[in-house]
Amino acid sequence: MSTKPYALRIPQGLLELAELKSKMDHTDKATALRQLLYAGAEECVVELLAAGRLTVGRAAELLDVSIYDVYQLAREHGVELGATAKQYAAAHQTARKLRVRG
Amino acid sequence: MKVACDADGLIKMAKAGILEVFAQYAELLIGPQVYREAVEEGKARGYPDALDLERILKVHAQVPRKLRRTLARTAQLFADVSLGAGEREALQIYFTEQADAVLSDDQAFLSALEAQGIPFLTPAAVLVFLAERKLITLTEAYEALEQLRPLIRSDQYEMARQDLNSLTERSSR
Repeated sequence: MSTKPYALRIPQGLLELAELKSKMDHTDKATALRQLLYAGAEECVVELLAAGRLTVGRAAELLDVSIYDVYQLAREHGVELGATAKQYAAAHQTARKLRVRG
Repeated sequence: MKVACDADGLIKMAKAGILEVFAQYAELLIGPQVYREAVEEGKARGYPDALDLERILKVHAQVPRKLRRTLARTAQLFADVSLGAGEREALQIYFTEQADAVLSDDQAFLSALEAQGIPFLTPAAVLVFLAERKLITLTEAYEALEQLRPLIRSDQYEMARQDLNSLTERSSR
């Protein structure tokens, strides 16, 4: 995933948390901060998916993962994805109107 | 019938084991971006389902020869919706190939299609349809629905199951 610089004021507590995490993970503070940000981004994506405000394909693009990974992520968060019952009913009606070939 | 597919719809149809059967009765239209999302990215990350899908699509999928530029129209219609590249491509194919429906199980994508009056199919609706037309047996339909269960919402699962139960009752009379 490409990265861009972005000026941001970060609360002191989060910086200290990043410091602790960087020591635990043997990495630098910037990497630790990015990991914390990414974890938050995953939560946010799952919420948007659950609310039907983001597609699975776009979610995969935003997190730079595959669609299969998005399914996995949703499962880990206990979130169900997919069409609603109302959408299923509409799809069922569509299917009944279609003519099959062969 | 011509059906423009997104990766989500394809992955779930393959998981349910009904993609091959459906492909015998419908023309499945798949663009290169959707193929990349459903097959190549899944394989690269070690998901075995992507291998199954690759095998099926090699035989049954059709890639439209020319993806004409209808992106402006698509972008205009779906300006308020955050779609991925694969979903945009499926829409583009729907318009250019004058398909009958879009196959997807993505709530946000389906809401956008619904708002524009574009017909769509979900994998659960397809499997019930196949059972209604006796293109698969009821036993096969129940099995397919169970395969699909972890990937779909409970309310959709329950509704599809009710439809299969009604079908079972009718066929036993």
